[in-house]
Amino acid sequence: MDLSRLASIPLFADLNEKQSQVLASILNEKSADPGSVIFKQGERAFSCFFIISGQLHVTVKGEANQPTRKVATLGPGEMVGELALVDGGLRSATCKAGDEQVTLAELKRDDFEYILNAGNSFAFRLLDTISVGLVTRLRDTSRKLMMVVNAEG
Amino acid sequence: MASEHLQFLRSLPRFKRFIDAELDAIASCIGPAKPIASGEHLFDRGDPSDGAYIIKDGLLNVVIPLGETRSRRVARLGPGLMVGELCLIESEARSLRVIAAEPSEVLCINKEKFAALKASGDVSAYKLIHNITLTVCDRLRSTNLQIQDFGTDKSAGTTEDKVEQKKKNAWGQLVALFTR
Repeated sequence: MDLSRLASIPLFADLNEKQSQVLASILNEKSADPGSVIFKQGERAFSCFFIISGQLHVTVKGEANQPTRKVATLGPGEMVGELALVDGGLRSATCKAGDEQVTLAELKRDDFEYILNAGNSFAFRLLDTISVGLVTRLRDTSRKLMMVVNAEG
Repeated sequence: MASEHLQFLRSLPRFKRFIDAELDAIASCIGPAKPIASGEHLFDRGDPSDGAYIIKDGLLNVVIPLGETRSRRVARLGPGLMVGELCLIESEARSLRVIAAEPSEVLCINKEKFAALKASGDVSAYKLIHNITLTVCDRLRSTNLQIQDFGTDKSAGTTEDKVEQKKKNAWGQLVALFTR
């Protein structure tokens, strides 16, 4: 795909020509109609998406009798699906396009692992971003749980 | 020093996709093996993080301190497993206590040395980060569904039973989190 469309995303800034070429060859541009489903919770998944334009709504099914909850609205420059990019597991949320047309860049897990093992600095940068984000989420989670168990009793 | 650890690292599932040169690079971040006496703390909640520990020998208890005097074990880790590894990704004070359940020996991947390896763009550092991130994903997925209900369950906390249930549930999730 044409990388100039990603130029406003910091993750993609300052790449050298070789790295840009590699990325251009492995990223797929995707377009989604307003309201359409990008992926569904529980689906097997092997990629993540960078938002070029438009908005995405992320929802998670509630447990048992709990209703579906909206967990995030994401816009240009943001990323979705990073858990699956790392572990190739199931989608942990459902993601739908907002009220306008959405343009995305898709990165597949195999390609990510390939450029990571090849020492591509974009892959390093992406992994840094993802890993710090996931560690922060994990720590928030365990902090919440510890607050519950530390409550009087 | 490095070569002494090479053989051991090579035997661990976590490093099975590392070639020798990469293992060498990781081993260069590791100092001499550190013995811990039974009952001794490897680290305690609030301690500054110095690195990721790999258990070479023995058994370690991962414990959540509860107030001043009580604590509860959430995991027991044996040879080959890693503990305290999140600090290689983002450093923060320790949130748990780790105590030797028997005389043990650990290797420490020094945080600063690892950061320098990473800054040099060495692929082995990123392979390890990828590897640790995989565990983080696994842990997140173990709690993903249940955790959200803590924030939204408006009925919780109204009766003692519910508080107890919530606490029990939280313990279950913490155990799931730390045994991975």
